[in-house]
Amino acid sequence: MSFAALVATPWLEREGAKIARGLRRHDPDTLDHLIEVYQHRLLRYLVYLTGNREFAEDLFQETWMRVLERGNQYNGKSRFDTWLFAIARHLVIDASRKKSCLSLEALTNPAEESNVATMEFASAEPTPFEHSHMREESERVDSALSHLDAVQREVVMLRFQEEMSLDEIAEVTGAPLSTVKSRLYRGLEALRPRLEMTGKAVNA
Amino acid sequence: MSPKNIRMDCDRALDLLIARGLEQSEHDSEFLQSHVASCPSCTEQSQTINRAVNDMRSSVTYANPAMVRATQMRVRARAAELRAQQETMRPLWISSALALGWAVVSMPLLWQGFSWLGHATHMPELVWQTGFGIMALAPITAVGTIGLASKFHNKATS
Ligand SMILES: [Zn+2]
Repeated sequence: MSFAALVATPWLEREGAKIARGLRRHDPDTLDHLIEVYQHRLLRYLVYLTGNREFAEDLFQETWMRVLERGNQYNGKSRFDTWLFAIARHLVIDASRKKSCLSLEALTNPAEESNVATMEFASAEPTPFEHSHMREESERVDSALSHLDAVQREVVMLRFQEEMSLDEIAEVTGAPLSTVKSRLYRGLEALRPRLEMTGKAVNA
Repeated sequence: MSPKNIRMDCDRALDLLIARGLEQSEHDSEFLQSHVASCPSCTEQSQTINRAVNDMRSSVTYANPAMVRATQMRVRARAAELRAQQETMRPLWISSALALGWAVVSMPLLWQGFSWLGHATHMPELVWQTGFGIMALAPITAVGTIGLASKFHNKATS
């Protein structure tokens, strides 16, 4: 174990225990703080999963309501973000079943992965925070990622944007490690020509 | 190197590439560097990952502050309700614990009392033992019933 990990692990455990205590008590300050800290990451994950900003925003609220209701299920030993994302994921699955959104069915049924249609991937609405260059980049990757299956897009995002380990991704998605890996390989494989194409177009 | 060995090296390199940014041993990092430098397929794979990582990190999705604030308010309101429910449940938990404690402590005495009464009045054993059972379980049953009723009440009102 590296020195950084040696220092970070007890800190994460303490932090996790503190969050778990706050959630058990339904402490509003803990919840306010968590919403503040995870707002952008959670929304981004939901947008990546659903491909729709408006739908993602509805689920954002529902995710926090569920965190509040089920707070006593968080044990404080694992990372809070993996638990949060797993809750959000379940909500996406439930909500997309209600909306009979076929492509997200594959999030629960890996056997259907090969039949999954790619989704319309709406990029985030511009906000005052966004710079024009960043927006261009965003559109480029959104369009590249939009051609991936929801399950592949999810693991690529969790691995390379959220910097989660493969084990943590397995925890969020509830899929075995081998499945996570194969989704990642296939996602990158599918992403390669898109990124090359857009890369050339931008450089031209 | 045989094609099988090259394939194995590529598989290992790919495993290390998808774990980029995570903790890797010095030995693995050296292997990856030298393999990628000499393998066009893995170089391409590495470039894809680099592009994907750069692109994703520069993509921006911010939560709308008004939406975040609305979420916080909604969560706060529900948290207050849940805390109030917790408060009303607290006396019940305390009385349950007390009832359980009392049942455990009083059980032998109660048994002796019923046994004495049964023998003194020449009651059939089944009768005084049933009486004992009812008396012993009464406090716990009462608390349990009240608990369940208030739980259903809370669910119905939430
Ligand atoms: Zn190779």
